[in-house]
Amino acid sequence: MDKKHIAILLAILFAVAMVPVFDDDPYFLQIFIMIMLFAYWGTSWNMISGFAGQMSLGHAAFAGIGAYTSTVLFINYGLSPWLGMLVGGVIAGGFGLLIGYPCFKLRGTYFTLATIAFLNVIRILVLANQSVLGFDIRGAQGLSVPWRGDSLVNMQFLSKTPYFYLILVLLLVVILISHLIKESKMGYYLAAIKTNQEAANSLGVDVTRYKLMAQFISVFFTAIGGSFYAQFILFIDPQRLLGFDLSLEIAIIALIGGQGSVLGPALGAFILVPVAELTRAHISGELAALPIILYGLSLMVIIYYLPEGVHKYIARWFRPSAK
Amino acid sequence: MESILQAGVSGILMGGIYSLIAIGLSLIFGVMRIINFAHGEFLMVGMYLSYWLITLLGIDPYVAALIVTPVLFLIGYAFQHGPLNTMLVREKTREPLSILLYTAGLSLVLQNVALIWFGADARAVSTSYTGTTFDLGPMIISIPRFYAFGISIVCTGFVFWVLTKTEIGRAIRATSQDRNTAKLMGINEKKIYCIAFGLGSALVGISGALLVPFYYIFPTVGSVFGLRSFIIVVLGGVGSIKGAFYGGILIGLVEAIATQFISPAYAEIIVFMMFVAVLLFKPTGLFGLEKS
Amino acid sequence: MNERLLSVEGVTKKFGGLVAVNNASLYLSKNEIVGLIGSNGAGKTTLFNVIAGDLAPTSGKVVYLGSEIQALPPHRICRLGVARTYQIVKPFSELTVLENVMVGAFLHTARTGEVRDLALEVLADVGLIERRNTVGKDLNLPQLKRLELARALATTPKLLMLDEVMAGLNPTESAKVIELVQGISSLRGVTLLIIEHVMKAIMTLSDRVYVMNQGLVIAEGKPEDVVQNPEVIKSYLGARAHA
Repeated sequence: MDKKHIAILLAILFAVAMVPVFDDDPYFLQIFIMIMLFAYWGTSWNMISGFAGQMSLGHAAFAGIGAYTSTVLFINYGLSPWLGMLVGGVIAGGFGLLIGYPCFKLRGTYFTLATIAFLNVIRILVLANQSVLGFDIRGAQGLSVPWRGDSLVNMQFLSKTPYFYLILVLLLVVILISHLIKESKMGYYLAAIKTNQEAANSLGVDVTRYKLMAQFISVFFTAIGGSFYAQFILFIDPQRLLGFDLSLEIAIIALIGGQGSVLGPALGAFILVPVAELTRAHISGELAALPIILYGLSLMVIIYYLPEGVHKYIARWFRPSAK
Repeated sequence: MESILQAGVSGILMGGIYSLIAIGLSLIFGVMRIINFAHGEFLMVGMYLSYWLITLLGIDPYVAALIVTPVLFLIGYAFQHGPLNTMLVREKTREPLSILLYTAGLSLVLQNVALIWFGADARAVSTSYTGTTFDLGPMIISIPRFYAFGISIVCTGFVFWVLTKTEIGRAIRATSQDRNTAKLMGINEKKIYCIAFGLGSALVGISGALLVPFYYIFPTVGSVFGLRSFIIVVLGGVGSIKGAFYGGILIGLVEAIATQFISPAYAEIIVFMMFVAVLLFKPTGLFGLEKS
Repeated sequence: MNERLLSVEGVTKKFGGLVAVNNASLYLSKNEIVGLIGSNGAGKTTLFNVIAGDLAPTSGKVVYLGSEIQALPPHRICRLGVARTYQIVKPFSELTVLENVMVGAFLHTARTGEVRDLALEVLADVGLIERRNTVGKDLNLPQLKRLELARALATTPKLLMLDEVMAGLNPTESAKVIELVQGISSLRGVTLLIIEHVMKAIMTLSDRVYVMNQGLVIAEGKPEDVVQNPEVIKSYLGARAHA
């Protein structure tokens, strides 16, 4: 990345950071928060699906595990969601390793189907049970996050602005980590694994180890996103948070933007989410499903015409000399 | 004891339809290695189409099935002929993950268009067959389910016959085994793909029509059946029509009995577990890897 | 200089009923260039795969630097200093030439800058430096072969196994590769085990040659001796004769 590129990105960052200063209309901020949340989720997802080539369509499961974990700990032990989300991340990471280890040897589409199976199992378990391990999770009714007052420790705020900055910071963190991975040994190894696993093996790459590392990191952050979501919406709807639709939306955003690149998913989010949110706002009733149709159509169009995602296109503007 | 028997029979009857849907998918996957994520949505389309024909034109549901089948064939053929063949050609060096994603997008679109067009409410159609039953010993057999099963078996037999005894069928099998050699033998692989996809879609269309007399129709009805069919195809062995057939019956049976003795939710979980187990331990499928 | 780097002892590899490698034994001394020849289907690549860890032998041992490695996975064997190329090249087609080689170079160090320098060095030796930013899928066959070689070299192996590195190359290109291989042996002190059908290359390069036929090692010795061995001639004429 050259100086010009960095300067432009910093400018965008600054502009985004200044948004709440200029307009703190809660609805407006809400859209931005959702954009950044999906950008965050997309970037996390990308670490295993884009970088390592193991495409997961079950990532919502981890967001859900994170959300439920931090919320249950908050409700029952008063544990601050800041810590709760870390616990959620680790537990989700554990699950990620558990399914990754046996399933990574599955080829492409089979692995994807396995992730969908996992997602469904988690969702059904949650929907069918009022409590898990003695903790009340309310099953299909969904779990409400109790309002314990506007406070930093409780990660609950009356105004949307703190949430805005929180998700912005989280987004920057995953983008940074994504970038560091890509430029490091791990990134090169994952790219090799994605392209030709056998050759990577013959060059000394411990394929399983690196896939599991990528999986853990990806899942850990996805779960934290789930915790944030729970604290923001103050309600966990298992049909939504553990739904296949959410998994697919996260994948779509990353794919549209360009999986395999660091900023691709964020780009995809900035393109798709505003359109979806605005459509959702102005259309109601029967046409409420329109945003999702948009997601579906975008996926079809991009896969057909621009399988590498929009990012490749835009990168060419910045670096016409690059291939 | 009776309840096991009843559940078992019920499961097998349903399994016939599962089989037919899975055979459709197996054809598509076997020949082209494509995962058609929208397979379930084609079922949904078949169901709504049949529903329309019955309610608007007052046709007998099984006659409606005869109409729905070629329509779905053409839809499938068109999709393959257009976007899918193009992407398949591009994707020669890698797994056609792009087609999985493309059809996933398609499934989202179809589901939600149906949602807008028909509303989320489940519809049921009242036909002369709905709710009718006959007694078989201690068991009560639902007539539309029985007909559905019977017709599924006939269709399966027909597919078998086409694949083994006709020229087209041989061409299909040749292409799925080795597309390069098939090409050398003068088989137009693109056309075979279209026929296979069309046939697969037709099978799923007919399944939908057969379900209408006794099943609820709603926009997301496809997702459950669709996912089931993937599971069955893997269970039965990719590319094996026989495997898909037995797999469908097996899943129908397991599901019915598990629902009876545990709960519908856990029955589903058991099915998923079976799926993952097969993927991990016997990836060639329970019924072995063999082409029919 | 006579220590044994690699010793294959009685390795058999069966695939169901098919015996691909039958009680094969060979050894390599440090700094040797050893050729492995034989008609198609003789079991050469299978033996390579057993040594490199892609396959586990049905029976027998592979001893490298004094330790048994037949049960180790390929990436561990590579870490110990055994690198190999593939008969049908396996480039990382979406990565550039430089990135391809960097993957190999990351074996012993994690610092990206250092690794880039190491990779550039190898590319210079192999003659691909001008193509360093070309993406793998845009290379032609001779370039791909060199890339395969460069990548394996970047892992700083002690033993390099080349599987038909000259297949598909014309005589001029082959001559260049022969030079390259000689350079690798003399300048880098790498021991080489080479499968090759191009007899000229084998004769020029090899200190010793093993001949395989139908899974068995049927002859061993200096290239000029082996070529006159009646068993060897019969095995080739039985299938095809090579010039």
